[in-house]
Amino acid sequence: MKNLVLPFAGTRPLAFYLAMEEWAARNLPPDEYFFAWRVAPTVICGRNQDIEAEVDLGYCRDHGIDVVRRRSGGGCVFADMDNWMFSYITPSYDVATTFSRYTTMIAGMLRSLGFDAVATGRNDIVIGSRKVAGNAFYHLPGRAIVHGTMLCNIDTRHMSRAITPSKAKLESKAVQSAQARVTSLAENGLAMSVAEFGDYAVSTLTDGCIRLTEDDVAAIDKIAARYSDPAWLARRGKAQRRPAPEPTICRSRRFEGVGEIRADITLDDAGLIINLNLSGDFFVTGDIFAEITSRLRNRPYKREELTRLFADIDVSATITGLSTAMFIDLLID
Amino acid sequence: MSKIYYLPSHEYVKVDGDIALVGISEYAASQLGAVTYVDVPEEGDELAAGDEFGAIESRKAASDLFSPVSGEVIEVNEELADNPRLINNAPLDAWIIKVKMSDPAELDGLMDESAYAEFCKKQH
Repeated sequence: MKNLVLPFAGTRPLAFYLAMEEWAARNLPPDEYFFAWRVAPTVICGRNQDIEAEVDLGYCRDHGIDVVRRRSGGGCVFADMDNWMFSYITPSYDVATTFSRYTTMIAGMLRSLGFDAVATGRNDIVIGSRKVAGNAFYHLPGRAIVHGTMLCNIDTRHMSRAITPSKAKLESKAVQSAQARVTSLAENGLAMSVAEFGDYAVSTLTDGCIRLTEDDVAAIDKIAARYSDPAWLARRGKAQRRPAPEPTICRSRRFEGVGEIRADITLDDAGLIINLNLSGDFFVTGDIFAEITSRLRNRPYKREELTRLFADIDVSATITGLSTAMFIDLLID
Repeated sequence: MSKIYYLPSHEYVKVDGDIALVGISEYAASQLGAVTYVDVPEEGDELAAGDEFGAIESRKAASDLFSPVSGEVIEVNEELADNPRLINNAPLDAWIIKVKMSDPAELDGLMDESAYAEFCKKQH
């Protein structure tokens, strides 16, 4: 795997590096490429996220935090100079294999420094049970890009204020991004500076480099301009352009060890569940949409049906402290 | 009787006369896993073969979508906005856009079903 080296020192806005990934995927011969980069404080949103709902744009403006929308999916993340971003470009199309190869490689690099790092099935890397790196995947014709974070230190102040769990819809991944249990390499005893760690990662993961020219940089700048288009930043997924359906049933409960939790349930005329929105002050550790709400779609709103659907599901794996029985009690008498 | 062709970027086009239905292949759908969003163009948009016309986001990945043919988008599959997972259930039925082709001869440059099956075998 070759390291891509820029012809200048210092850092560019985040859009430049996203464009650099695309440029490499579209212009370099089929091979594996990697580069590590850092940016000034930036919130990076997923391709289809509703930025107004997920990001405190006023806070970001007041604190000079850049806001960028990437072309890969997933939730908001906060990055600054204490966080390395890794980009990996490969000719492979296979999502599962590519993810697994990449996260295993990164976890191996961390283990070589003595961290107890493991790649998870969610394409994250954890130390203990806490996430230290999250990754996203983007297909271009004939190539795939995997990019992700690597937290060296955490600025919890900006991270929690810039991404707004209070405003976020719980179906989105923003809440997870902001509240998921994260850790940093520093918390786990990183014995070198953040800059040195980046050098170590690159030298361990790559075997040679490709030096980009000023012409290459000009081509990358052209691609980067697309990310600066206000229409791209403001866009939302088509599904989000539709107004949320009016809930048919609103139920609210307080559970010991969980907090206040409210369920807005929308049923169609036949009594099938069209939508479930959960809100409250509970703690999210998984993908609510994938693990919970998507299972309910088009299912009858009946206790025995809900019990059957969740017979093998541990809701507390997604919402801390909320047992499956509590969850069903929340939804229906 | 409709015929089906594929792009190397895993879009299919099902053709009936000068009408083409464009979606993603079963292979691509299985790679992406649970689809969460489908970005689609507007009806009336003009596409050239190879144009990026939208994107698919799944729980695992995002993929740009490319048009196998040139022509006008005469319909988008609105059902996918409410239920993007139709693509996982039956990718060949869950077409994304309907295009009135302006140059059906472009189909000659695409892979047919057996060529595409061979192509998928070589993916890694």
